[in-house]
Amino acid sequence: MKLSSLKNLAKGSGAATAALFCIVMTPVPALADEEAARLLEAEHQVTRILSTAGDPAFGAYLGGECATCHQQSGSGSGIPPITGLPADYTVQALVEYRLGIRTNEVMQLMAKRLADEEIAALAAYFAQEEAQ
Amino acid sequence: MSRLTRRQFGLILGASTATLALPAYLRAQEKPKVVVIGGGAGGATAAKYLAKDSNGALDVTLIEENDEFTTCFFSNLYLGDFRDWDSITHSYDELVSRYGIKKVTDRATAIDREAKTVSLGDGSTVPYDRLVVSPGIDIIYDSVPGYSEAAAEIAPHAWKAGPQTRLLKEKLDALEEGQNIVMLAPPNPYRCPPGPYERVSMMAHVLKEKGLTGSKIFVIDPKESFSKQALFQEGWEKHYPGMVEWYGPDVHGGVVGVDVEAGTVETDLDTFEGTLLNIVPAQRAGTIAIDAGLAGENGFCPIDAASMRSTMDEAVFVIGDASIAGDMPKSGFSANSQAKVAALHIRADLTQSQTFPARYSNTCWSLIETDDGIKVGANYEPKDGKITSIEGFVSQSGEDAELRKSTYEESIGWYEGIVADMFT
Repeated sequence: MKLSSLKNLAKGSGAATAALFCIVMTPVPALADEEAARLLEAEHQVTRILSTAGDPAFGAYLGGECATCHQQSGSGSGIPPITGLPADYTVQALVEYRLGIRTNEVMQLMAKRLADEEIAALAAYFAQEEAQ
Repeated sequence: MSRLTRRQFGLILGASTATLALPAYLRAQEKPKVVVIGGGAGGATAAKYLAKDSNGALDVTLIEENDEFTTCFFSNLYLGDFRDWDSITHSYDELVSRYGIKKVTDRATAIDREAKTVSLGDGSTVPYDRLVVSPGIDIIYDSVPGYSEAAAEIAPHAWKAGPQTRLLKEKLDALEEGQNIVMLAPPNPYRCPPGPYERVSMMAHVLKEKGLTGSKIFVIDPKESFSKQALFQEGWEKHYPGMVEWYGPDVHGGVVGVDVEAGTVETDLDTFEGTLLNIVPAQRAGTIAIDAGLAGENGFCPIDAASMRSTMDEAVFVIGDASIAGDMPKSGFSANSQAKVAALHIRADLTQSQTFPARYSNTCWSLIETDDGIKVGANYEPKDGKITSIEGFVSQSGEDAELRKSTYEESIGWYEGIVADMFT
């Protein structure tokens, strides 16, 4: 499959795209193409999410789930601090977890159920919070 | 306002133009009251989020008999010499000083759901508009013939972090070469599904470090299988060859009883002897929840999956190990997650704040040996009338050492994160 046709596929949701890969790419794996398509999809998604204004109040609610592991004070080792991160960084990271480009299982799990507006909200919230 | 005469009250009102100028104690009396029973991963988190997110609009009281809280999670790492006691013990001071939570250091003895009050050990009562019940588990001692609360002083269960944990540690450290441990694992449902097997790993680690490789740990399990079984068994084989023997019911045929004086666990197959017995019986919701009629026949408390509200009483929320949380395991992470959902709905009840759809998540990390960490996790949503697992993951067999080390480091980060989320 050519990358140009993957671009069209990549317009769908991450999961739908992945499902299509399973069908069209089996049995010959084309990992390089798949990786390229995912990076391209990530770029699309990041641009799309950054073009919307995240709601920090909604992000504060959603961020309660993050606070179980990521200390709100912004300190910690083993699990990176996220308080005060620039919004574009948070969006990029969550999109990459959502697409499976970043590999941590816990974060993939957390990111997979986040809709675009939720990622935007979280990014807006953590950007305005200050590390102590 | 009963302590003020009408005239005095009128004078105070007359001296100011706004209700906000009332003395603090008068304003406090007008606030809706939330009482939280139990200061663990569920209760401490609930109290904090209620106080923090309501910005002082709620009067939050946390009833917990202990001055400090020792976490059950990571208490196995204390047994294994990876953590000291102080590092798993935490103060409630910041919940009081930073969020204005009233910490009552006493035992909640009863709930009067008619009067909406909680009785304390000192005989006084505390009224509530909403109640969070987060008492954790109680041990059903007589679920194991021959076992009792007194017997636990000889053969500790150590399934609540505290003196029992220290007793188990003392007994573990006193073992000599060739002396064995017998663990009786609990039946489902119980607190911390991977806990017994992480504990076996940590006890084996201590034996191995001391060169006691001739000692064995026999695990007698009422369950056919257990959490992360393949990963634990692979790890035991790798790190502690010949030291751990696990027997499920198809082999031992059933537990007949224990004799803690003789140091034996009798099964249909055989009688297992140990210098140290670690007996972990069946469990149920904390007694206060059962006595208040909040539990079902299985000894745990049914809740509405969308809010953690008790199905028995709309003014009561049951969270953590005491609740029937569908597919969620009984873990500190789960309790913390459930607490935030409960706090959201209590604030909506009392302050008309906005609610959002409930989301729950859990990850359980376990340590098998130095730098060999594994994990299992899932996320959950209310669905089909219960909290339902949506998607999950588990560590894989044969992962490389670097990944296992980073999983362990992640668990340390998580620990620091969750205790900060609970107590600061």
